[in-house]
Amino acid sequence: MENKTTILIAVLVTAAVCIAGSYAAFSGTGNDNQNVSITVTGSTTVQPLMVEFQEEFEQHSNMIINVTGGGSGAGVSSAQNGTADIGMLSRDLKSSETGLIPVVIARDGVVILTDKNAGITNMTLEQLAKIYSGEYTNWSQVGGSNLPINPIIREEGSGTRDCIDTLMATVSGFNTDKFNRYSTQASTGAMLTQVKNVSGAIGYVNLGSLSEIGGSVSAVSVGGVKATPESVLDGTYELSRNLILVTKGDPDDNTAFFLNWILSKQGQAIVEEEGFVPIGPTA
Amino acid sequence: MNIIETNDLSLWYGNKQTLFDINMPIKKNSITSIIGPSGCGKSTLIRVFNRMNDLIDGTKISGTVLYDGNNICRPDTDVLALRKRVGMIFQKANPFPMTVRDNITYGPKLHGVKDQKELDEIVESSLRRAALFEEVKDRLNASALSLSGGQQQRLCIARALSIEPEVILMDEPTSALDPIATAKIEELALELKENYTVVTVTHNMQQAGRISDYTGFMYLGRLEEFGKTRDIFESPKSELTERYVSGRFG
Amino acid sequence: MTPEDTVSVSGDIPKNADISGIDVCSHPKRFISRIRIEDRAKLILMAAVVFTVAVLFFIIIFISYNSLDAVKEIGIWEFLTGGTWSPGSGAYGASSLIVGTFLVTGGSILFALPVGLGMAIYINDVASPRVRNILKPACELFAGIPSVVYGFIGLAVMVPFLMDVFPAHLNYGTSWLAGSLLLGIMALPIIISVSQDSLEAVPGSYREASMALGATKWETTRKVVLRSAVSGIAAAVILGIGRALGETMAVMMVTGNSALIPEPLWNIFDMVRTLTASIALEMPEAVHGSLHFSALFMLALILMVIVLLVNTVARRMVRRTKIKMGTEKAADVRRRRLFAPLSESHKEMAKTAAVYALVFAPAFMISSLFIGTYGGIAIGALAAAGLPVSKRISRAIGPNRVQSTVYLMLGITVAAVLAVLAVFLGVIAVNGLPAISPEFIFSPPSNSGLSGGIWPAVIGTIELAAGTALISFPLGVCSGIYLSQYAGDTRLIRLARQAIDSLNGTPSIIFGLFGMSLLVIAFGWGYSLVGGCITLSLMVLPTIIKTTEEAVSAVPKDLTEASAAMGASKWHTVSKVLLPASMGGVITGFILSIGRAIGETAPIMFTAAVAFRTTSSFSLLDPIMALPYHLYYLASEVPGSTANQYGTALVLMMIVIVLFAAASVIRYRYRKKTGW
Repeated sequence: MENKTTILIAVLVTAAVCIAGSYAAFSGTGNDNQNVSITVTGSTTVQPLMVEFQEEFEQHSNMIINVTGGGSGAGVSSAQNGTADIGMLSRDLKSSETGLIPVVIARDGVVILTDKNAGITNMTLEQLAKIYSGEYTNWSQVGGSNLPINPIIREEGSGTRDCIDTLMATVSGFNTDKFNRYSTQASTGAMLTQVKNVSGAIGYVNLGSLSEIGGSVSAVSVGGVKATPESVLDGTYELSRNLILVTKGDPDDNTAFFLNWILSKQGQAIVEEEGFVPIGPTA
Repeated sequence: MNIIETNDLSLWYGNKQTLFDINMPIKKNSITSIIGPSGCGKSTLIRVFNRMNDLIDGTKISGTVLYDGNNICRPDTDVLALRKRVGMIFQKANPFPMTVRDNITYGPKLHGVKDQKELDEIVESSLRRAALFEEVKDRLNASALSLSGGQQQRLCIARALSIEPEVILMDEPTSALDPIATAKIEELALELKENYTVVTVTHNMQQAGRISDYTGFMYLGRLEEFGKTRDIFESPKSELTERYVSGRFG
Repeated sequence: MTPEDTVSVSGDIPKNADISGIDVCSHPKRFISRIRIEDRAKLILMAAVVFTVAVLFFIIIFISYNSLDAVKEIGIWEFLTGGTWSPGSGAYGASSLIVGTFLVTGGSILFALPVGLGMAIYINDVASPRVRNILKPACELFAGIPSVVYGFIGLAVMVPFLMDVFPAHLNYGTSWLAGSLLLGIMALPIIISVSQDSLEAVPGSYREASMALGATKWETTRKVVLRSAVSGIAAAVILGIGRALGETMAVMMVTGNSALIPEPLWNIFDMVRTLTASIALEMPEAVHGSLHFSALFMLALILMVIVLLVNTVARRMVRRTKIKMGTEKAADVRRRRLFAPLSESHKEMAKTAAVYALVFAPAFMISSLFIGTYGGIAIGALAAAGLPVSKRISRAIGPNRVQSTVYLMLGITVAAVLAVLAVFLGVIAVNGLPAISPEFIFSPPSNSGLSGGIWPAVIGTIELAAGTALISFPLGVCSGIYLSQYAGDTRLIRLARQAIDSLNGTPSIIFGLFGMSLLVIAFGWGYSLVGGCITLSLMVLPTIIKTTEEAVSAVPKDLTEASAAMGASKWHTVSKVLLPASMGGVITGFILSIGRAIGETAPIMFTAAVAFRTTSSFSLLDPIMALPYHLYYLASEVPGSTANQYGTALVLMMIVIVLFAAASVIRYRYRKKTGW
């Protein structure tokens, strides 16, 4: 038969895929004495932190932690409908989001980034709000060089955006009418790339990304205060928010054990390592 | 007067020689038939006359083919101009998938005719000369593929005539047609001879006998015998020819 | 089940009954059981088709059901026509998103069609057989590069490049232009390969006839071959449009996502936002069951309707051109009569006017962006004036030199496109190779992905591939066989075919939403491996069905007849003659589908994939890591992980390319062995 070789190859390929798949699938079933698993879903800002918790925690307990991203919205709904044991939020709960019990695990600051060529090292919250409202369109209007301002924002629902929008809204005259004209980026990484590429750009990322800022991008002080873990903790830096975990009703024993561990010295040390602001003492 | 004349023409496809030292004169305003068994090189030979063999990679030619006294095998020959003067009809009718009119105006437009009136005239005269006009005159804007097989072949003839060639090569033009359509094409060939020179390749010996003035018999890439049709059929010199035309092989 | 059961009249016949042992001639007593096997086989095959068709209806029902709230609270008309999309302030007007989707797609086709067609012509007319044998598979390989990789390179390389070229016009770099260019590049391979196939399929006799009339090769191609291949080229364009309309990840990364209609409408430097990007951007932050959530499903529904409409209209057009080429139908006769008063010269004039308009419009649009309206008119007029000049020039230099000029230009186009693709591959290879090491591949990520490797993602991708294969292969092949061998041309079957075609064109993110709403939410599975496998299977099912059907139908009829003439039953013929003979084609299509599936991000980001998973226990209901999502996550959330990003991209691309290469080899061997 002429087609035998072809069929043989095909069968081999299929078999290889299946075997590899099942090998991969079952290779890890040896340590199956870990039978308690906790699923954590939500904010992509909290996610890297949670992954560090997971790595450390799993070494000290027999529990498995599954971490999923998906955003703060997914965190709320997964916790509400029970697909996740814990929801992660990079913002506070809204009044409409009921039935959930929040635990603040860390604080985070929102760092304002600009193109270095803008020649700005400091701005007030009012100036920031007016830039995003579209009232100021040139850096010279806020004491910088003569360069058009190109604001960049995060997507609707982003915790980072939520934080900065809420604070800017306290400035009278602030509006979001021009937001549709700004470049909208879906993530911290994309935001950083954009601010790096765009001349006269202004954007924002969370405090954890502070170490990535450099080159043609500079971090700007707000109201004369630099964004640092210290300034966020003592409240002198205005642009800050809570990172919270939510559970549906009171957490069960295992979940509570995990949450308590996060609030322990050990857990809070990880918070600090990751560039967030711990809310309790660290080891 | 010979309009085409081959001298010691040999042809290779790659390393395979398919024509051997062909010497054949083709008289103006005559019909010349080339007969012979399948694979003897008949089609290859007439495709030399309009350099259609160029389309096949690795074709090599030695010897000369004189057209109006010029050797058309030379590489600097204007092939496009040659093909304008030497039209071709193929074994299977191959009208373009366009309207009847567009099929005819394709060639003239290609060679620079733009005037609508002139094009209309060409359409009518070409179709008339191909004895097709009456049948299709109110379907000029219909798809050419909606015509019958015989009509399609005559449309192809009209298309070839539209650019006023001097020679028309026919490569087994009736092999895919029924007897009635065949008769029409044969009749047409006889009429065309008044103004054109016709070279036809055919499997059908009766056809060669009926319409042609000269006949060449080819065998295994060689021109076995060439002469007046009557001589070839009634008193062939070669035994091979005799056996072939009497139907004892081939 | 004992062997006796297989042949007993009353016994239960297993569905995979081996009937090869039944000698068709010498066992007349077993006649009845053969009939029963026949019936069962047919029933099983039919069930596969019914399932596939049901999937489409389920998708439509689920998407519609979830968008009900938005319809009730906002209203369809307001939703479609509203100009502001700002869910935070309760404004749900999708018009700018719809326009954005069309603009990006249209722009990409305007770019990809001429370039792709030019390349197809080059491959068909100019390239030597050896070059052709390199170019064609190369094109198919590029079709296999996952969209997230395109987006990644687009943002890292193309956007900064565009900003350097148009510093005055591109504030952000991310723009409609960037989106269309990137989508165009992504649509190129399919446009090239499908249109080249159709150019190749044009009968050689047309070419001969044209050349014999003294036309050059280029004149022949332009005036005869392209015209004859028009339905194939249209099919290529439809496929390209389909791909562009549904593209999510790449578009989201480079268009800037601002929900505004460009001003003027042809301002390619403005940022736009597509329907798909809106869904992918906002779905993660939308709380299930909220109005926002429902509105995003409404966007998906609109997208689906657009895709269905485009497909249907395009299919109609293709069919119409086919009819025009073939025999005349009554309708054509009527149309001919209608236009009869228009003389030939009028038609020519209309044609010329159209050509002038086609040259003027784009020249005006592009140049007006740089030098204002009047300047634009001047440039447009200049371009239009260039038409007769170029005609005169081409007449003056003669057809042979026109041909060499055109072919030279085509050659340059090919070289340019290859260069762009080489840059894409080169950037990934150069940056990715240093990152790759055994530790990188075989260890889990650490430090949020900044260091460590990708092993769990590799395993997850393999698990996804295996699961998708297990589900989609039997379903797809059974449906394909049924459609090619058992289905008649009834109204029901036509409907089924249409459903499968529609499913084929459905954007991958829609499958993602379907999987999310059904498996993740309604079934309560959460993110799970099995959910990802099911979602991906549904996505690739129509492709497998179509390739199977084509492969089985391509087997010459004589073989079927020969088998039937020996008294073999239909199922016997199918299983013993047709399937083995078409296996090469079936397997090729299958592998290509799996290759496509594992590169997808949009369907798994809502159903299966998580960013981190260090545990190695296995359960079908556990979430998994997967390479494309890992790449997306690193690129978007972990700045500073550049080395790992490129490493992941390279590994993902190599897996896909290996699969595609395997498919090419199988197809090549198979074509060589069988004559058809």
